[in-house]
Amino acid sequence: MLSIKDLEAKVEDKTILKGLSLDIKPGEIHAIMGPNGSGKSTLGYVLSGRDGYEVTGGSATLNGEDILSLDADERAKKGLFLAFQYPVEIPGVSNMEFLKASVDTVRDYQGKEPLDTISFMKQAREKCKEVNLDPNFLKRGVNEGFSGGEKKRNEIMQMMMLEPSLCILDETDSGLDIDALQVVANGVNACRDENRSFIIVTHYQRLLDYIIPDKVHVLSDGKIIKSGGSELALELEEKGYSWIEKA
Amino acid sequence: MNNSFQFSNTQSSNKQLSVADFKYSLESDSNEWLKDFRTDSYSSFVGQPIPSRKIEHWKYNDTAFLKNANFQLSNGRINEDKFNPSQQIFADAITCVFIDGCYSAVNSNNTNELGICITQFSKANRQQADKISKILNISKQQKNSLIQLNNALASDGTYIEIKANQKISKPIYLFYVNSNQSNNQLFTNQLVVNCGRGSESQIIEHVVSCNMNSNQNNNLSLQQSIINLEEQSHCQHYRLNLESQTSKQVSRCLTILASHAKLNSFYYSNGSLLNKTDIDVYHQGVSAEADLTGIYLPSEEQTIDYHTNVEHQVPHCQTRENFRGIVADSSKATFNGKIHIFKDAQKSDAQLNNKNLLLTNRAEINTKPELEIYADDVICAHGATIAKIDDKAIYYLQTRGIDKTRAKKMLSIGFINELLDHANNKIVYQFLHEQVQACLSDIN
Repeated sequence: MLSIKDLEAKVEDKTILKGLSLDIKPGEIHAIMGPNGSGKSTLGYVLSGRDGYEVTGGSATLNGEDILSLDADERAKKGLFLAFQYPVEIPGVSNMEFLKASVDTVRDYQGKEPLDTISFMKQAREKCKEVNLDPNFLKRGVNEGFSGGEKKRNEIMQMMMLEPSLCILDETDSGLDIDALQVVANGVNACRDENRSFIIVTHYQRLLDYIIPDKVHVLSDGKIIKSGGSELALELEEKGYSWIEKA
Repeated sequence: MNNSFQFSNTQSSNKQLSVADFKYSLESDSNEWLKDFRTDSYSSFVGQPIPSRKIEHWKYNDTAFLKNANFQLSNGRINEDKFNPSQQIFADAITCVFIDGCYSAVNSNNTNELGICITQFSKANRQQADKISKILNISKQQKNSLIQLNNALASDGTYIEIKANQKISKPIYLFYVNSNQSNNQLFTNQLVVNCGRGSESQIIEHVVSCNMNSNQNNNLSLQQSIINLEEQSHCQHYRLNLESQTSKQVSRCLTILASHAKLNSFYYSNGSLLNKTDIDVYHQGVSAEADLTGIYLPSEEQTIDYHTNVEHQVPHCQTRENFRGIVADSSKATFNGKIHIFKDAQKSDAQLNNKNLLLTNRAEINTKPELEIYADDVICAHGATIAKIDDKAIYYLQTRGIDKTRAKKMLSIGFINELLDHANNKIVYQFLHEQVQACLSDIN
């Protein structure tokens, strides 16, 4: 599904990723943990194609295709989805209009049947319910005046609508109360299938109680310094990161 | 009847106006009661220098076209046949059509509706003349010398009287068309609306050019519109400027609010080489409310200039003012928003906001929100921003599969949409919605 080899990237002359390698098979969930400033969010930005994040070495392929040379929107069309740590507020553009434009473009690119307005609305309302969002949110500006939890649930709702093959969740659990955390986890679990993979970037082990990862990686100073099964997360929770970094 | 003014010019015959060097004479046969106002306006005009960048009010406008210009004063004879009504947006309205500043009765419609009286100044009765004079006198105080010129030259005008306690359901549609039939013309227009006590009305001013592709247009249109709101009256006012890219229009909209009067005013502008609109709102009665919204979308070489001046002359009045612009190509926009709270205007509540998007590094915006407060118990706020389209928002849309160009377009339209919702009239809203889409379709 996703194959990253020796990825190096810099932002404004500061090298953040220093040779990161990662292989994710279809259907797998990988958690990426690590201390502040280790490059977790940068990995999401580099993979999704944010301007200003320059790849200086290595490669990344999604389903065998190089993605690093593509624009952000083309990567999205090819099935990559990034759930933002801080989703952007866009007043004046309604959630509905935005989501319709997004879903139409992605489906069209992937050669799927276009959704007519009625089935689109029906689906959007259903997905809203699944993540516990009032369907009236669809009429409001994108994320406009949403609480932190509502914004995160809106990200998951978009993910459900777009049916991506690789989902990157960037600290989706931060700032969420226990109930919202469960809603998000349920959303992710509902999306799990043998052809869809996840990268879950998180600081805390808590989310991984609800979403059981296949693998856990520790990112430090732009590299993966330790990988293990889900039990690694528990160990990190107990001991912190310093014992690995020193080793 | 000779309703003309003689302008002498070194080379040519009468009815020629050289702005740089002119003499003026007022013939005695115009509306007698209008004479004082016109004479005063003329004195104010000649007492002021010709508009140029040296004058604060014109600091950001290119006024080179005034230098050595030979404007021919429009003689009021218009070719009414050539008018093509397809640009009108209301099919069923009380419609007044003005061609090159002159009222065209044959093209106007439903002007005899119940509860409303529409007349030319020259046909006004004594009582109406008194009312018009009184309202015009309030309009005397202002900074724009070209509006003073308009007031001096406009030998006639249109008076619309909405009777007390009448709810006029049909919109009052004032359609101004620049025919582009001739060149180097100076057009003037004077409009006075009196909204009677407790009345409700919608006034839509729509300014267009007939031949949108004409590039040989050296005409200058001047105009003053005054809306007087009596106690407890409510008026929704729109002024839509959609002219050809070569037209030059300098206008002023003055609204006077008596106690408990309510004004919703909506300004929209794209097109025009120069569109300068002065907006004055005078709160003269307690508990009056004014909501002003403005959208400007200049592109290419155009200049759009809004100078707003809201005066809280008495206590307990409220003002909400929101103007937004998207400035493209090498175009220019100026927003100067002033709120003036008089000494006795306690408990005034005024908020002014201006936001701008710059699309290129050649585009220019000059914004200046001003608060002048002489009372000590008021709530006032003002703010202005100039920005480019938010990169983070573009990226966010891109990660959802929407390409950069489309993302920019969506974000620009969204930026304007927020204010478009203030247009309560559905037809106007729909029309402007399409205009905005078309206007911003070239963003890349």
